[in-house]
Amino acid sequence: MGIEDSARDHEEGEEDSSASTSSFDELATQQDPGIITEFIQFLRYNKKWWLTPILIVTLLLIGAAILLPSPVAPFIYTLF
Amino acid sequence: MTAILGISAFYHDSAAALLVDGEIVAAAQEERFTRKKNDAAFPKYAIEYCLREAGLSASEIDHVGFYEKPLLKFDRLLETYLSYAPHGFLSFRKAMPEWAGPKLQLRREINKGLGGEYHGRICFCEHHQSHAASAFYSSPFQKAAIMTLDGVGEWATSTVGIGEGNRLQLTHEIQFPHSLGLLYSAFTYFCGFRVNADEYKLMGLAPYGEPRYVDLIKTKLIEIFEDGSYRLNLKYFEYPHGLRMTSGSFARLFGAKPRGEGEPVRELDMDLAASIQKVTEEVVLKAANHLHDQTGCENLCLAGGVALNCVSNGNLLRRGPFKQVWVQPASGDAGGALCFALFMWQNIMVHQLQTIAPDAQRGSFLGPEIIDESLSLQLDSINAKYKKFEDESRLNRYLSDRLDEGKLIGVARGRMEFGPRALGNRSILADPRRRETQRDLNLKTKFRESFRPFAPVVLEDRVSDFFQWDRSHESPYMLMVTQVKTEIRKEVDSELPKGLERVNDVRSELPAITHVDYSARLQTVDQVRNPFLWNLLHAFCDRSGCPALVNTSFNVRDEPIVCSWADAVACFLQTNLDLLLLDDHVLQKCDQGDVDKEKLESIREAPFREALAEEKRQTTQFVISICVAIGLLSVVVFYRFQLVAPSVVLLGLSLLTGFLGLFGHKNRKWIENNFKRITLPIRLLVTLVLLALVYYLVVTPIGFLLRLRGRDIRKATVNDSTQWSQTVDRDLASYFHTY
Repeated sequence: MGIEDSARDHEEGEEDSSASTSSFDELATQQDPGIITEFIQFLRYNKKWWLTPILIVTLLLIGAAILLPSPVAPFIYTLF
Repeated sequence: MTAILGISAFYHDSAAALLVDGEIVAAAQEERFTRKKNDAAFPKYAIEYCLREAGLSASEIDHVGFYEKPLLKFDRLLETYLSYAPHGFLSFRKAMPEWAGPKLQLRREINKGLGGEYHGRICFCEHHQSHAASAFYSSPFQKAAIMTLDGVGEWATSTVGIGEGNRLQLTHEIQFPHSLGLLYSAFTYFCGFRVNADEYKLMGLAPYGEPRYVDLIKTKLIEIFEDGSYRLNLKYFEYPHGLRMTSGSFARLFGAKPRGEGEPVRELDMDLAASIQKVTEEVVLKAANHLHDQTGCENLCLAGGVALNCVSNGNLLRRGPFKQVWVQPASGDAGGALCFALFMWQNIMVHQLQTIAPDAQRGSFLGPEIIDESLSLQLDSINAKYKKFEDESRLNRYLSDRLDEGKLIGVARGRMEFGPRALGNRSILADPRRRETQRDLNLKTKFRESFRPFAPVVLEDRVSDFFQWDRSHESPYMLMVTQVKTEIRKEVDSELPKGLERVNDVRSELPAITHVDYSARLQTVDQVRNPFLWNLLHAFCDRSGCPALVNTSFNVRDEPIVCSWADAVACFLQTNLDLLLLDDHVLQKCDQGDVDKEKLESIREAPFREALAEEKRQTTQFVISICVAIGLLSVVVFYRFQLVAPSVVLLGLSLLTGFLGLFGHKNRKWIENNFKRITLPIRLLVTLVLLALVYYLVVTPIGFLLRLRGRDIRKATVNDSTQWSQTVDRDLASYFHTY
């Protein structure tokens, strides 16, 4: 398949999908998902369920990282 | 009015760019403000500057976007570890704390960085879409083929596609771990230079060597297909899972270890540099031929880190199928900020493409401006002696006289360049006809390796007097290498020393800019993009008959290019430059004995006072927390374990810490640093144990299972005749996802 054909197919695909989805302005007014929701959406979209345990661990690490600049830092920062 | 802020950060070289109603208002790299080379921190100062330039506040920004999709990148990282585990722990141990920090919490980091004033959503587009947008939307073309070649973004390492009007579509890609950019970086590492920073040094070293390893590289390391796609033999590389770029097999193949820091450049390094340069050129040319066949376009837009290889770009222009090649000057990751803003305005928000002549990049002069307004007062305040020129033609005559006398002139005027090249507003200029210019600039002014050539800046309409260059082409961003004309070349004595000392040979009438293979990294100057340099070159030509000058960036080794007038003065004072031009003020080195250097440093530090105050606040908070923590521990030890003596010691320690902390920031900082130093072994051990448990008990078993089921990124191939795979369609909502 040539690049021009692919580009045309892509554009047609985009037109179809844009017809079924909201416009950019509408999407821009919606709420951003939280990090946990986004991880779940990512796993569902890509069907990569085997990454679930690693992403759970990552969430725990993120939780620890969020606490680092806070006043409780000396209690927990030795973890990182 | 629609204002779009593009941000790139947290990898290397962070930057910000602001588009207002589709026009690039400002773009700047964070390193220029913080003075930390390749600063990857959140681009706080670059954003502040962009907003100041547009007269906006953060609350008035309509859309903010990031130049890549972090969760998709993290996905690539995890899939790589799954394919290599149990190998790769050291890389995992290094990467995970970084990803648990700002990289996966980008929305939070960006909102915090904008002071909580921005209330919209954050958009994300793919790394290579950003690169492609930067090349196509800044170019002068309505329709063009597009090629991006980089180390790696999310999964893609090379992409091709087409742009027409306001639509840009990348159709095919080559995926990690196969990467032309990383192959080049692997050789950069092996030859003793810094990865992601010094690739241009390897390119500069190439002409000294013989490309004797081309066949070996093509046989063992990379399989190049006819359509320009390629597949690497991963046995020779460690970059997917290790902390080094190349493996032991790579070293055995070339019969040597990687060159260590500070060791002299070997003949092997020169030959490898020459060989990988040839291989890179071959891949780029084949991919371009394929792209031309597929699209039928006459124009090509090129972006990504590999597009900064101006030797390959020149070769592509000379031997390739495209009539015009346009390369984005901020092709690296810093340019990602600008790329995203353009992509969002044109491709996501679907606005009409306004092709601007000669191009929308506006000479890449998109950064902070040095203007005359209060310059005299500021120079007076540090006791600098200067001469102010009201008449521009007098100024140009004065400067060209000094250049003709062999003086080296630092120039800091107008708006700073966006991207890695200094194009005349933050440059050092010199006479290219003098044989000592190259040596003086390298060793006395820039304090850098002597083997690297300097670039000529030449009047567009006189370029073919000196260079083998078709005048229908232009090279305004110093991104094309060409050959000096045979007529101006000089015979070189074959008895002269070989190796890097060849740099001092006189090879043409313009020895300072002629590389050992008679090549030159060309910058053409036109009146529209660069009127200052155009006028100065005319004045120099009137004086000397030579329409060219040496142009190199105004910085010293391992420092970012100067940004403010104070940076320029500081750099001027620590180098052997003879003159400094600040807007229309000229400073002579011999007159600057009375400059108040302390005052100058204080002026340079002024923008960081707020950050310093924040750091002080955090240190105070930290010390109070330590006092409370140790105090609580003493109470626990006393009541829970009935240990009086240790409890008293801990209480005393808590009180002592608090007491010391009362006496100034220096003491508090000392406490913080020492606490961290003492607890460092615990920190390292705990991190090591925790992450080792995760890696060997979670990642490794999953990786084994996946590999048993045939899922392994090392074995992923498209088919036997190509490595190009089709890109995945994405809907509009995906631009709000981090994956």
